[in-house]
Amino acid sequence: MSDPPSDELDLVNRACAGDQSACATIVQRYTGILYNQAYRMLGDAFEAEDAVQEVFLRAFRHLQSYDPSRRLVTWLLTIGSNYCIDRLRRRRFNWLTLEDVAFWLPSTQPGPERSALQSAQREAVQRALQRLPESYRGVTVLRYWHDLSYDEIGAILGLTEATVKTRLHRARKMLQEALAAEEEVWNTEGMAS
Amino acid sequence: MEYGRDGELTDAELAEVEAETRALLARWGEPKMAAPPADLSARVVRRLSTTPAHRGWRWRPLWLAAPLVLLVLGVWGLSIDSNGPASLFGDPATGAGRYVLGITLVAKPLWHLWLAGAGWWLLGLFVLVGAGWLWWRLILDAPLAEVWQ
Repeated sequence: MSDPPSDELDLVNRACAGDQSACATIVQRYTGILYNQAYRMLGDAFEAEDAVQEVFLRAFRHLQSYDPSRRLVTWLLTIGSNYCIDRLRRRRFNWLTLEDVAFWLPSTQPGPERSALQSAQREAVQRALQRLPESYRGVTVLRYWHDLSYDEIGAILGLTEATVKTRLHRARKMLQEALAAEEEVWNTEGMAS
Repeated sequence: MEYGRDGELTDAELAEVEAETRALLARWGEPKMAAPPADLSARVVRRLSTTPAHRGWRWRPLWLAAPLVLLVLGVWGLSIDSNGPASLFGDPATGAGRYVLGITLVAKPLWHLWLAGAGWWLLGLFVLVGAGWLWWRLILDAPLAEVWQ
């Protein structure tokens, strides 16, 4: 695992001492990464925004426990991962609205948001990701969207490297199948329109 | 391409499946980082500056100690003597001793209440633990995809 950049430690020390500008720098630097993780895991932009706020709150509350031998980003992604998994588990007990259900099912009709090709492709990948079980989704997002090594993913999720590889192996197969299903819908829509 | 059992890919096979997956994602225009709203960082910083850090945690040990004090004083008061704990702090009629005597006298009826309903309490606890265990096993441990599909 690569060493943390030297300015990271300085930032953390200053933030621990109550320096607001150091806190703001950390927030600005890692908001994008945490937002992407939460968005890919939770599949909802508004929930992802809440997640980012909550993850930073938790991080700053426990900044004293940050291990300087780790990169700050992996520590933050660990908190983000735990938060997203908690939130996904809690979500099971909420009543679903028809709109929620529609979000989880592959769309068969092109809506206005699918008019742009690129955004429709992204939505398809997003839906395919949401079909993966949370433990597989986590490793997939960290590997392909955050480009982390198996070792780093293991450190974030508390798994051995072998388990990370196994989960990724299964996740790849599931993702391929999910994207193939999306492609089928995509082609059917293409032919229909 | 089919490979052997999970996690038993050679480095070359692993590199190949990684490249296949990245190529598949690239066909769909991914992976791309989802861009957060422009003002999200500012909102987080604002929220951080308005949320007092460590509030509540400072007093948490006291909240944890309070039931323990009640427990000990109650047992002492019931089984030995109500004035016993208070006399450790001087005269039970004045100063700190008076407060300790007060707490002991509050703890005793709480113990009586607990002992009177101990059977029901234990039964309730058993049901609660059992329900929690079932909840955990049947719902929380199930993979999400099974729930949604």
